[in-house]
Amino acid sequence: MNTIRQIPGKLTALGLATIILILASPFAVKAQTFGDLIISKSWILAPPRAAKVAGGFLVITNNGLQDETLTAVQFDGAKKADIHAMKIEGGVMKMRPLKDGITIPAGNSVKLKPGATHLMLMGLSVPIEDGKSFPLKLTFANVGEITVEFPALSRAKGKLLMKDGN
Amino acid sequence: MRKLRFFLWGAVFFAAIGSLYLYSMTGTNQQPNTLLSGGKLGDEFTLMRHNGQPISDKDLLGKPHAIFFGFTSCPEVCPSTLYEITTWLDELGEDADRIGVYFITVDPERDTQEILAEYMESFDSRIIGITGDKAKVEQTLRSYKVHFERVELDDGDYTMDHTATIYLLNSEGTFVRSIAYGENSQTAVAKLKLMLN
Ligand SMILES: [Cu+2]
Repeated sequence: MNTIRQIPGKLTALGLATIILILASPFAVKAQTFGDLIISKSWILAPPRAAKVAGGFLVITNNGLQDETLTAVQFDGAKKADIHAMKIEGGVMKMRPLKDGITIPAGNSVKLKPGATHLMLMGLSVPIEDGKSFPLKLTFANVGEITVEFPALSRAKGKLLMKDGN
Repeated sequence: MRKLRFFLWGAVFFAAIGSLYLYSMTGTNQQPNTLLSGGKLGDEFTLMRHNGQPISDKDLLGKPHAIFFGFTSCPEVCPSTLYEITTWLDELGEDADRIGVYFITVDPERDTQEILAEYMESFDSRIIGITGDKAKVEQTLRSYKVHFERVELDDGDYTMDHTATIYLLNSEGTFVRSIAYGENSQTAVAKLKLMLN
């Protein structure tokens, strides 16, 4: 009985916390337009201390009539940055560099999110801490090189960001 | 197209697994893990805790325990899982003291005791990082039927494919059930609570 009565209370608290976090979302970067591309929800999962790698995520929307390809990533605070495909197959995490980049078909969106394709920052030379923001250079086949801000977010904030809206 | 179809079938598959699981939670029907169908996992070992103290299989036995396998050069799956475990332990409160929680590296070469010590500071202090001599760690991983494989990247760098499932074992070291990557918090906490009974 007790647990049943607790659930609505818990849900309300969770809902309120979510609303407060979204209202106060200082962490969400505004969607940006670069030619036919809209870049939104860019963020880096703030890695644990001592970690030398971090994963970056974003949503790329291609409003153009031509397919677009993200071919390269560059970050001054890392020795190397790559585009990685990731999947969990039979309970095993597998990660591979995407040599040909990621194609965003005309009129479509591609979502880079936890558990899937990500931007992989390796050999970090700067601490990627929650609350700070980092510029990443993204190279596209048509649009060329653009710079996008990637705020570093905790796991909890990143989950909220991915859930919020589209 | 083929990818989409693959993905959709994947979604159907996971939905099926999910409902089977929920069914097993409500009934007595325990969905067995095909790879790890019960039985004792893990051999004798002596490795090192992230604080530099030795740790052996005997330390894990005696209370129910959860083990996650990963490495610190992992961009998302490992830190996300350890962050999730931290929130679950938080939710369990003092009850969590009755469960041992371990993070065994699949990359002992890079994950030295010093690095692991700093890495673990980002998570619940009850989670114990384990590393040690490469051959010994690998032998232990094999005894837990963990998949781990070094994958070369360019410029001599490498990454590790590895089992991303959290094992839940009873106090005798027998595999009971698992928590999958990305599993929702309520089911994960419910599974941890079941270990306390
Ligand atoms: Cu990666």
